[in-house]
Amino acid sequence: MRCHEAKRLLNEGDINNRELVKHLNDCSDCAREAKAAGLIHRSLDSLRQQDQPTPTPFADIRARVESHPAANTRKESSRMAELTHKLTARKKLSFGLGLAMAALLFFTLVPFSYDRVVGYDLEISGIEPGNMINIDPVIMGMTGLGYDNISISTNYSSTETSVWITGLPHEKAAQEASAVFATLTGLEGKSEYTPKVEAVSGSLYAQVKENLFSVEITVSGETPEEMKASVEAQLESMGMTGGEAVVTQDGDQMQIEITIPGSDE
Amino acid sequence: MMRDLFWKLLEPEHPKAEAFCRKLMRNREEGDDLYQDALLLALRNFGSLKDHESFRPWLYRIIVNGYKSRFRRPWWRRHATLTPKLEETRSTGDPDGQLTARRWLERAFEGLTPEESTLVTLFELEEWNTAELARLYRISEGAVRARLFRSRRKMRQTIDRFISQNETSNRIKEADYALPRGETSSE
Repeated sequence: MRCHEAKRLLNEGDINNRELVKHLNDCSDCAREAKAAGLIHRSLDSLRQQDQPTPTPFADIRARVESHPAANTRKESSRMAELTHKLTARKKLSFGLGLAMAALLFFTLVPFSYDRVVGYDLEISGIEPGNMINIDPVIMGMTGLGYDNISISTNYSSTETSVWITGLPHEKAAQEASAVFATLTGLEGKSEYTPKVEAVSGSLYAQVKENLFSVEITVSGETPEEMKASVEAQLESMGMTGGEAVVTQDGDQMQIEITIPGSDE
Repeated sequence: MMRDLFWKLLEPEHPKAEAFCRKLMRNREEGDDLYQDALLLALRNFGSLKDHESFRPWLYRIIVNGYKSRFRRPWWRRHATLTPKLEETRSTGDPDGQLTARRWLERAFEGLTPEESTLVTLFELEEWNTAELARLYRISEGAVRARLFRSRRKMRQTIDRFISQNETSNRIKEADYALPRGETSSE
């Protein structure tokens, strides 16, 4: 017999088993445990046979409990105590709340590295060579449109001239810069917009928040056409070129649907 | 009306429930305090008991929870309630080794959690069966058996450690093993 089998028999109280007795003669560890089992066994027997102390007369205990102030008043407990009690009683609810709290902390606190578009660069290439470009009117024109921080550089080669305009805050600014350049210099080339991306660290919440935008809509006193124009102008100002708003009115109900190119919304 | 019903349902349970509290606390006064606290709580919340057939497990659940909550108290409050353990035994007198039996059991129970202590007390001393215990603890009978198995093993190991530590230093006398020989039990 192995020790685990001997211990199982000890646990079941089968202490007179022949094989067990034989094993106990050979194994000092199990013999010690058997001695402990025997002591517990006999102690329990002894207490079972002990005379039960006289119970308190039922009438006495009833009178004592009935006259106790706590028997007639419901104990006031704090809201926190009640909440703790409810949570302790409902383990699944506590687990769910704990999980939700952990998810919230993860969502708002744990930082992740992600890329963010911080502006656009415009490259106008393929301009006919041999033309010296005066960039001052372009800078003034862009400043007039509200873009103060742009910078322009040029590259002249024997085959073509290229222009880079940087510091454009969004794609719409890049489109406007392309148009301003063509109008004020009279030169044409191939325009390409390149988003400027920087790696930043932030929580998932911060990432979501960055991608949110808000549009203010004035409902009273405006026709659906005016509302449409207002929404589209706001989208345009945020750099969402081609954004479209459809306003439909059915009695008192008004529905506004906003579509932004490149998104599924 | 509800109160009368409460007392009517309690009357047949009273002697055993009170004795159970005394055994749990290993002291008459402490046991009576536990029993009175449990009755006050039970009386106040009796309206929430829908099935009066379940009165017994419901009452014992309140007792067991009250007992466990005493161990959740801060240590300075707990100490005051747990020190006078052997008082009752001394007062009854115990020439046949019942004092010794109590001492060994107290040592064995030291290795158990309050939950395990109540389980072993109910099974071994109050003679509840596993089905009744499963209903009380709201677990399966298999889980009750598993807990009993673990509790007994822990008790044996606690006593085994005690003997190992004290036999070598001759702090245990032969008389400490002199327990009355009882009938074979289920332990």
